[in-house]
Amino acid sequence: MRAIEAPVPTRTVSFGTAAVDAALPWGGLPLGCLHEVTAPAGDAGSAVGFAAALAARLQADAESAAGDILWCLRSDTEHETGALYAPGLRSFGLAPERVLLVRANATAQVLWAMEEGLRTGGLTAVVGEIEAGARGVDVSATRRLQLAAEARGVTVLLVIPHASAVSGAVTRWHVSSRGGERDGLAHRTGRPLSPRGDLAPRWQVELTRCRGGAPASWELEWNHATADFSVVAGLRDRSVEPRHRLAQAAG
Amino acid sequence: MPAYATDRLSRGTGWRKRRVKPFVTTAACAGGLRIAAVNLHAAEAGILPGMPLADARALAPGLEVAAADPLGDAEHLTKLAAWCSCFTPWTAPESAGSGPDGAGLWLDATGCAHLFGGEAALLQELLARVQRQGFAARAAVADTAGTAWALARFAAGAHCVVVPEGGAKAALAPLPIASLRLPPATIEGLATLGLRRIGDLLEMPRAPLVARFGAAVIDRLDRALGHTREALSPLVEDVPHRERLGLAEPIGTRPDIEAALAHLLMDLCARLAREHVGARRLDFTLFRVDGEVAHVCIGTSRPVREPKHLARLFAEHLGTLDLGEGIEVLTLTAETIESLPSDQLEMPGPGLAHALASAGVNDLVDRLTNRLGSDAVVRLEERESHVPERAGVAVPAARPSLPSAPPRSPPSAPPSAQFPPPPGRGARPLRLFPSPLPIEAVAPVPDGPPVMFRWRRVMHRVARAEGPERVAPEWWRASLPGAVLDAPWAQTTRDYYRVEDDAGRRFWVYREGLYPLSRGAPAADGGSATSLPPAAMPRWFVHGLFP
Repeated sequence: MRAIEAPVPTRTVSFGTAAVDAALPWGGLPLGCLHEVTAPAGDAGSAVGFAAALAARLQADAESAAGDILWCLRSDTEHETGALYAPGLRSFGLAPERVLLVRANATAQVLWAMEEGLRTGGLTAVVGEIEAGARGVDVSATRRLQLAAEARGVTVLLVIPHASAVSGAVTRWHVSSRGGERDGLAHRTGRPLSPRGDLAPRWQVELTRCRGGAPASWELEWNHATADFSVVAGLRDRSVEPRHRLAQAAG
Repeated sequence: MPAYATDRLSRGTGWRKRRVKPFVTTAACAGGLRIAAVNLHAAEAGILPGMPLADARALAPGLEVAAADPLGDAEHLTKLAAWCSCFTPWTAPESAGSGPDGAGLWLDATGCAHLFGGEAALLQELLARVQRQGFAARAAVADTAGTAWALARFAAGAHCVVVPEGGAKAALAPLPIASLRLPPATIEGLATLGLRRIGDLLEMPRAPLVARFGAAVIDRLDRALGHTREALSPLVEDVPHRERLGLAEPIGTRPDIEAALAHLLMDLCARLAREHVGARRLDFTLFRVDGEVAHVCIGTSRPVREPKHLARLFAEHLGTLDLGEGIEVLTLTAETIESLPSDQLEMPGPGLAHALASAGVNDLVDRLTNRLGSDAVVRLEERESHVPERAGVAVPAARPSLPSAPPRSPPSAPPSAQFPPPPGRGARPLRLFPSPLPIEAVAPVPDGPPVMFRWRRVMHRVARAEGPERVAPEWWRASLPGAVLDAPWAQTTRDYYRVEDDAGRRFWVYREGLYPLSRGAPAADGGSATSLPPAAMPRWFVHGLFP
């Protein structure tokens, strides 16, 4: 039990911002384990974006960057959320030629492909997208992924809209889109989306589960030119805002 | 096989009657049903092919009758020829109608006989196996196809005849003229002259024979004796990289098949390594006791000669095999090979780590592709184009084998880095819809981003927008051969906007086409999009999602 609970000293990758790294007991995102990324209904895009950003961090990390990234999803989700797009990946900071994409027909095949990938050495990360309402992704499936990830030292990012309460994952992140600056003029159409011209994505990132750590929340901005996160100024050290108030502020 | 057609229809447990009683097949001819083929018992009763069915019934009261099925016969004969390729790679079914009755198979045993302990042993085993499948059969080995054909059918006594090299003349001499594959009229004509055996013909002067009966007689004789060449087309081409495993007892369980496969892979890979090649496509063929042949084919993304890796790829498919009553012969063929230099041990370092990693990924691609299909395992590539649909494509990770495959570029210089995004190109979405999805949008004219839009029955109010970025069709492609002119991106100009709704979600939307400004009247009406006639309303689409 102690082995499970205590944070083992392990290799990590930094978020590029000290605030997030400090909140994690490992001092960064631990490699070689399973991380879940969840999203509110209808906003799966931000969870995928966050996973892609983490993958780009892993790719930028010199130690783990030797291999490719295996990205597994169900082919029919392409009509729902769009297909991965190579120029978009590159402008996001992720090299598309280092991504191996698996378009399976069933969730079971997605999980199988992920496990096959984990059994192979030489991958930097395995990303799996599970669509909403998928069956068969239970605690034993996540536990298997976690064990396989540990055995090979490959990091697994599982994008899953509704994660089960019990899971084998080491961390779980809840990501929702925040959009640009809130300055009271948000509804005026025509204001530039990205004043600096870089269209940096912004997310409200909540660390909802962390083995050996405490939940936390930040508003993070992803800078794809430097491939790192930064905490949005003005929100640092603020308490977690209840979600309904966020919604009020937005709507 | 003298009674091939009837034997084929009397195999199996339900047809014992057909095997022990006179049995014939019939074909509808002018004047009623006539006998097409007879079995041994029917022949003993005096029934001949071509006889009316009524006469045959009179000769043998308990006659079993079935309709003749020439197409089925030919199909099964081809199958049988394929099955015989467990003896030699060169097999062919005898073309229909070349013999008086029955059917035959050609096998070229050149260079194969020693594998079975000589030609006689090969014939014994062949006959035993064919007979086990329910066919009475006779066989002969000779220098020429014509001699073998004649001896297999007309040699007295023995079921299997081996003619030593150069012994064709002596072996043919006592045989009847009919064994020369001549038309019946010619045989009768020769018989009236008293020429009944091939030996009689051999002593005749050739010129009068040609004058009387045409060149066919001499031609056939020369073919049988090997003076003229005879061409036969084999069923399959010879494939050099093949390993074969014959079993004394049929096997039928998966572990046994896997053990046999491992044995074959070991031999084949050792040979591939000697020749510095690797296999791209392999065919594992299992010959069943009952004459069926099962194939398992796998493909790899690069030349491979690693037995363990190949065994894993085959293991995916072995579970679905129908093993029937057991497997008696297995062959493994490398159908496509490519050069693969010998493995070289590298110095430890980052280079070795990368080599190991890429080898692991290639193995993974093979495993995934064999299970999910080559369309399911892809790599994303960028192309030099400003049209979004054309700028990013997915190509199968397991590339099709090319005669001269370009070497993979090292990872430090990815090929796509040759196409940096052009200056002025805006951000591209992480996810792009395969086909743009129509939305209902309200937008000011001209050239304004949408104020609000409805997509998937949800209304989105646009909080921020950026654009437009105009993407025009690639007009220079219209003149190229194979240009796709009916695709939506090939026809209209698009104005792309990046918009963010009030919940912070970001979309990539575009307006198709331009506002019809030349008419002037709608724009003067007050500048609102709603005043345009519906037909002229530009359509809006959402094409991608930003994270």
